[in-house]
Amino acid sequence: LRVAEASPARTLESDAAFEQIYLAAWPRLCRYAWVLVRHHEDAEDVAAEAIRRAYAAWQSGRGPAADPIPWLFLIARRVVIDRNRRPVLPWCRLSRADDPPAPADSLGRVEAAVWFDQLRDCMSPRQHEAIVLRFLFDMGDDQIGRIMGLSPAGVRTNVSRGLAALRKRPEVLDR
Amino acid sequence: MSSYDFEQDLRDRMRERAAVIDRTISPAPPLRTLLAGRPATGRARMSTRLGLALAVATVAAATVAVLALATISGPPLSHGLAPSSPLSSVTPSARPPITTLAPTPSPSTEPSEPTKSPPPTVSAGVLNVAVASAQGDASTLAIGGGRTASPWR
Repeated sequence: LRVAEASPARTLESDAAFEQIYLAAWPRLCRYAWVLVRHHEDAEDVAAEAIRRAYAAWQSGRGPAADPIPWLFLIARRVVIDRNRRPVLPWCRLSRADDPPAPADSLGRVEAAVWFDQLRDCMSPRQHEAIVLRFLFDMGDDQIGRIMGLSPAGVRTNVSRGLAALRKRPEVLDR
Repeated sequence: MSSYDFEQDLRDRMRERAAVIDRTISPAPPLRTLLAGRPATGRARMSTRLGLALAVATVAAATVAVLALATISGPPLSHGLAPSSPLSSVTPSARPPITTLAPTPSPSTEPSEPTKSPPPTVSAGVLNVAVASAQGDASTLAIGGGRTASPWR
C-alpha cells in the first residue's frame, strides 16, 4: 500500500525531471543525429526515438549515471545503427552520412552538409565522429569513449590522428 | 599556425556550420505527444501528411472515374422513346442490322465413314405408306404450275 501511495508522486517527480532533461537536450540531440544521418527529418525521427527509449530506460531505473547528454547520444547512436541494420524498403531506409543532401534542403544546410562531407572524406568515420564530439559538442575523452565504445586512450588516438589528417589538407576548412 | 590555433579554428568553423542546422531544427514537441508515439516530428510527420493527401486524392480520382464511366458506358435503354410508347412503335431502322453469314465449309464437316449401324427393318406396310406420301407431294407441286412452292408464301 505504501508503494502504491508513493509511486504516483514519485512518477510525477520523475517525469518532470525527465522532461527538463529532454527540453534541454533536444537541440543538441537533433544536431548530433543530423551529423549521423545528414537528413533533417530523419534526424528528428532519430532524436524522437532516442527520447522514447531513454524514457523507457528512465522509468525502469536505468537512467544516466551522471551527465545525461552522453547517455542520450549513445541511445541515438544505437537507434541509427539499429535502423541501418534493419532490412527495409529502399525508399523507407534511413539516410546515411554519405547520401547526397535532400532536394528540399536550404542552401545553408546543403553547404553545411557538403562541408561536413569534405571533413569526413579526410579521415576515417571513427576519427570524424571523435573530432565532431570533441570540437562541436565539447565532450571529454571519457564521454566520447562512452558514446563510441572506446577507451579514453582510444579516443585521444582517434582525435589526434584525425587532426593530423586535417592538417595535411587545411584547404578543407576554408571551403 | 600553432596547434591551439588550428583546433580553435576547426571548432569555430564547425560551430558556424552547425548553427545553420540548429536554426532549422523544430522546437521540441510536448513530451506526452512524443512518448505516445504520434508522428509529431520529422519524416514520420511528413509521411503522415503525405499519406493523408494521397488518400484524399485517390478517393477523388476514383469518384471522377466512376462518374466518367457511368456517363460513357451507354445511353439508357429507353433512348429516343417516350417511357410509355409501345414496343410496336419502334421503327425498323432502330433495330440492329442482322448480319448474314455465308456458309463456309468447315474442314471438320468432311464426310466421314458412316458408322455401321444395323439396317433399319421396315415392314412392308409402312414402306408402302411412305411411297404413297411421296407421290402425293409430287402431285401437289405439279398443281402449282410447275413453280416451286415455298411453304413461307
